Amino acid sequence: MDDGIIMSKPLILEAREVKRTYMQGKIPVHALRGVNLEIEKGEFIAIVGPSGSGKSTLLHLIGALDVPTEGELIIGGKNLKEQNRNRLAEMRQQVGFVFQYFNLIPRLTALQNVELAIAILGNMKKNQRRQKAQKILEEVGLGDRLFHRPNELSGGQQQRVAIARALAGDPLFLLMDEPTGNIDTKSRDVLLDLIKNLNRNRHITVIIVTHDSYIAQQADRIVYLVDGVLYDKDPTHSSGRVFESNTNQPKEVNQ
Amino acid sequence: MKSGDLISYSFNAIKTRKWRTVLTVLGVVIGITAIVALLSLGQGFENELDRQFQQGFSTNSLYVSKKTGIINADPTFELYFNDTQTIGGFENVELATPVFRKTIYIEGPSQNFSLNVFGINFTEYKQIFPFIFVEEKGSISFGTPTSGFVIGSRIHKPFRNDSIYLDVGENLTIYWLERNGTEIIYNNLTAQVDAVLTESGSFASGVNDIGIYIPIEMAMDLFQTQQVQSIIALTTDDESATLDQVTTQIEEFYADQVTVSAPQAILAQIQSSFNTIETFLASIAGISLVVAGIGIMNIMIVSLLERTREIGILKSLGTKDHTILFIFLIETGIIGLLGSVVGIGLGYGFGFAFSFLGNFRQVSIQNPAAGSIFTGVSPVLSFSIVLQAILFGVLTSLIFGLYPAIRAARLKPVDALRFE
Ligand SMILES: Nc1ncnc2c1ncn2[C@@H]1O[C@H](COP(=O)(O)OP(=O)(O)OP(=O)(O)O)[C@@H](O)[C@H]1O
Ligand SMILES: [Mg+2]
Repeated sequence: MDDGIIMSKPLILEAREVKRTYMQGKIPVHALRGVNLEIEKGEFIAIVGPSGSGKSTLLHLIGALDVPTEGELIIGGKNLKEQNRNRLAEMRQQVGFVFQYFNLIPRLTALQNVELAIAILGNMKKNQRRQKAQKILEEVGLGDRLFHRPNELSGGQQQRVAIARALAGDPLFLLMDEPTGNIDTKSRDVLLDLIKNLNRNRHITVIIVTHDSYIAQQADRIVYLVDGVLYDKDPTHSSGRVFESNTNQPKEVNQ
Repeated sequence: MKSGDLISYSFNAIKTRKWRTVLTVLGVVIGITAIVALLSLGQGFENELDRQFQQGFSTNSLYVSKKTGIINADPTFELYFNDTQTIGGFENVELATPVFRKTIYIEGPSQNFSLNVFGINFTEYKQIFPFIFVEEKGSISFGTPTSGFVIGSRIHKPFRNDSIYLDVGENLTIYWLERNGTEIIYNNLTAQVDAVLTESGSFASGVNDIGIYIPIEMAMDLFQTQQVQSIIALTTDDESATLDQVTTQIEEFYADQVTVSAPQAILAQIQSSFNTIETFLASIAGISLVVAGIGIMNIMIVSLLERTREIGILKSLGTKDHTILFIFLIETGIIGLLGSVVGIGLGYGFGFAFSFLGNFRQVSIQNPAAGSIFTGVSPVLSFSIVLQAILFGVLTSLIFGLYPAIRAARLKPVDALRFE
């Protein structure tokens, strides 16, 4: 593929009119109102948007943690709604997910949390697994916190454990929900280098939700999610309409 | 996930809620303890019963005694010494021997004990009970007339240990009451102990471990009576046709005022009544295990709620439904296994405690019949009992753990992750 011929790379993700509606009792909450998105293998994409716009919801769908209420979501050639629970679990094994709220297992140490992600894949011996987990934790600067439990770590340290865990299983996808919200700029830069490296050298597709414009700038492409609709240009710059009122919801932008 | 990893993961989860696990395990322990105590004692009881019957009964013997009860039983009817000859003359009867029995008292260290004196024909008796009418110490005087006592082993060693209450060559005084018109006459007799019998156990009818044996002639002389309590008839063979024929013959001759019973039938009766008791107790033990199961279910549901987020995390990392199911089932399985293993040990221990109490009561109580059921019975822990107990404990745990496990497995990852 890297033979210099200009052609589009294969699509690793295709979202067509994806909707996700939560039921809040009897009241439907439309978190995604018809998202269209195409991602090529090896892309590094940043998703930005205001709070509550549906970024986490979208990322969960891409990570096969959830299925769309309506629309087609095809990941790695597989249509999400055609997969059974077992297949969905297998799809999740190829995803490294960094959650907005870390989601570490409290009773396990940093090392055990990372090891667990590898153990679930079931393809590595205990020793190798431990070494690998340790190495990754060292890479994110937690070599001296291996045996701490999450409640013995700072927010930023927990976030880095979560990142290490996401990387541990050699994922094809790296999905990160605000991964730098709690860490200082120096750690952020280390992390960014790590991500870019994985992206360039191992062709891992990276999708990152962020409020940090510096990080967003590093991505190949930025998409904007506003009120459950995805735009490829910042809709708030073309018109100030979007955030003006809640009653006047934005219409979908035709592309 | 590999099975080794699954098990260590489950262990880790259990370890973090130590006390709760201990309490849940305790539930299983109680159930299994009860079951094992019961089964091992039952097994011991059956073994002992078999042993005693094999030694203490001849299969070709019939016991004749006067009929009791209110229907068709004439209370004035008695069996007499002379009937021995009559029965001995019947067709297919090889030998008939009388058994006289009377309750007497002996002086104990702190209180008087009531026991039975048996008047028998030593030689004939030995012929019917060759294995148990045997001296352990001293000698039984067959043939030559004697005025000494032959005593059961528990009068010699009441506690089955080294402490001897009464030995060969020592004198024993027996006391009994007699009515003469309106008068009460206190009688007593002092005689020397000639022999101590080997221990026979409580089910054998041949030798009573707390009985005193004297020649029948001496008994009739002493107690001034010709009545006997039973007559044992030895038949020519142990075919049921022969036994039936002799039974009918005797019953008809005595106008249906006697009961003729075969040891085989007695054994079956004891076993069946024992089985009824055992079944009843086992169902009570079973109920306690169900209660333990509900405890397990309860704790696993609590654990499910507590760990919903954790399950969400596991799922987000690609854990399959059946793996989550296994994790939960392994946890309940471990609880069941721990409970079973501890319960088996405790149950066996309780079995011993019970049998000890049974033995102890035997000698400390006035009525020799009471407490005798466990005499000589030690619990037997067979491989099949161990297997049954473990199977039962683990299966109960798994059955009750299934519902929470299935619920955990069916959780949707996003919902689970959002759960607070
Ligand atoms: N389980 C749920 N039930 C009901 N409503 C939900 C649920 N999850 C999300 N929502 C709603 O869907 C919308 C999108 O939520 P989402 O978490 O995707 O936003 P977000 O863009 O990630 O916000 P933030 O930047 O604050 O993390 C919100 O209005 C939220 O209230
Ligand atoms: Mg979010």
